[in-house]
Amino acid sequence: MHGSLRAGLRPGRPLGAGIGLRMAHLAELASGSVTLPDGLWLEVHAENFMVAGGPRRAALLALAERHPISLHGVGLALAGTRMAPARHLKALRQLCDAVQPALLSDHLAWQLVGQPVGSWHVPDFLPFPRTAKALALIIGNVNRAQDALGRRLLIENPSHYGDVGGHAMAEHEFLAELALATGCGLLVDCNNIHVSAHNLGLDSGWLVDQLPAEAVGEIHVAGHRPDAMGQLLIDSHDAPVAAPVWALAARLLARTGPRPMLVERDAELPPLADLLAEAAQASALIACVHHGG
Amino acid sequence: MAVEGLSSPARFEAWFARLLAGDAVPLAPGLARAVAVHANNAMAAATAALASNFPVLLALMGEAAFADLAQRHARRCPPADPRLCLYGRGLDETLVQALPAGDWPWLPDMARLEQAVVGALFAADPPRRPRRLDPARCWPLAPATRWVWSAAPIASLWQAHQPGAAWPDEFPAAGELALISRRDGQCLITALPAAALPLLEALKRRTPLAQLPADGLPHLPAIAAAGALVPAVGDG
Repeated sequence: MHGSLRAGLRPGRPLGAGIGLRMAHLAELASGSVTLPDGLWLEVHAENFMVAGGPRRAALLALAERHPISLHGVGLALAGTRMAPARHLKALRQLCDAVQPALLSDHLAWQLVGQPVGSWHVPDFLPFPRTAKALALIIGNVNRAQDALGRRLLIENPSHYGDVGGHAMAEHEFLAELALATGCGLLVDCNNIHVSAHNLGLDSGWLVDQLPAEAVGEIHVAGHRPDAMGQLLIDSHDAPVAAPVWALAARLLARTGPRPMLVERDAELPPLADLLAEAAQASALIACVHHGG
Repeated sequence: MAVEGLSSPARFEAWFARLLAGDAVPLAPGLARAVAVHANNAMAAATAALASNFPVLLALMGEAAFADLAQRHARRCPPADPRLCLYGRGLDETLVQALPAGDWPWLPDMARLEQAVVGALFAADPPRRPRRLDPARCWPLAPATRWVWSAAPIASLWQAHQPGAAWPDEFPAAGELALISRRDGQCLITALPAAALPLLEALKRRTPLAQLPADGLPHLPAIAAAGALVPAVGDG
């Protein structure tokens, strides 16, 4: 599988820090009126651009001429018995061919619900018991997706809000097996690790230390907030990156060496300058590792 | 543990789906909280997408009434596609069910209009090469072109709610045929008289130019100027 897939990165300069590009900033950036830091890359939710045409898709293609683009999917449903249909894979492949993304990723989760509630694509990342049967299912799905897309996927660890139980292996073991069997890489979301560790009563640092460093192809950092009861942390992406999440990212980078790191923000969007300041912080962390600091 | 006997992924998914839909009870309190977070995330994403895709309807209804409508629609027609930028088909029918009979009849029409705007925004781009017009051949509609007829002045209402638009002294008393098109990367809404409808339908049927209904032809320049037809040599 490794040999038949693109490495997942364009040849040339390695990626450093990136920011999530949301619609509120798309027109501003596509116009070219804002000068972005040299080497900055942009990550978009692939599904927002998997359309036939129009100005939004055109703006992304224009940006792709100037900046490396990461396509971050939310719809492959790789951990489900009902993976995304062939037409979805075809549309994503067409977008990949047009954009030539530097990175391509989706989540270790399922979303497509069948009976008894009808056809429902749950716009969230649903948990599952990490069993041998689940691993075999997901290996098949990831292989099918990578074959259809002609590219290596990075698979993101999801946030957990409770233990569904029935696990035969820890998440890091599951991800390592998945990467080994399919050649996929890992997108490690340090905010998800922080949120999950809080919600499940685990040690976030220990979780980071168990990840297979060689498989890590991208790191996400993001903000979170407590729920209304003050019991759970919610992976809300509506706040600046918290200090413990930066610390987890630094801890992971120390094991992996330099990796592309994304500042992810989906709600309560601040001015672009604020996001770029967080990206500069990510760049400094990566540089610190790069120079052995 | 919660998933005893649910070692099969398919059986687990079916059980978890029932939890999300409120048709089953979690076996552990901690899992109940987790299910509530996932259900809330799913509802929040769906309703936020509707608010984004139907901004004029939101403005007409107000935030609280629109939020009620969006939740009702998300339960009646949950997203079937991860492309939430396209979500909202059938919102007009949800509105009809939710509204007292006869009240605010223009709201379902506005839902139809904004659904058409979403479709137009993401439709395929027209061919770049201009078409040479020939009376014996049709002048195809651009892929983004749609229209909605309403007994209310729906095009004027939509235009009045666009950012920076001036509020008219009064709205037209008659209904409007709203032509939705895309020109220079922007969605346009053009109000046409009802008499233009047979012309639009003839264009959709790819009727040769020489056979277009004569009484509709005076509207052809407005339709072409809106970018509703594929580019043609000498057009505009």
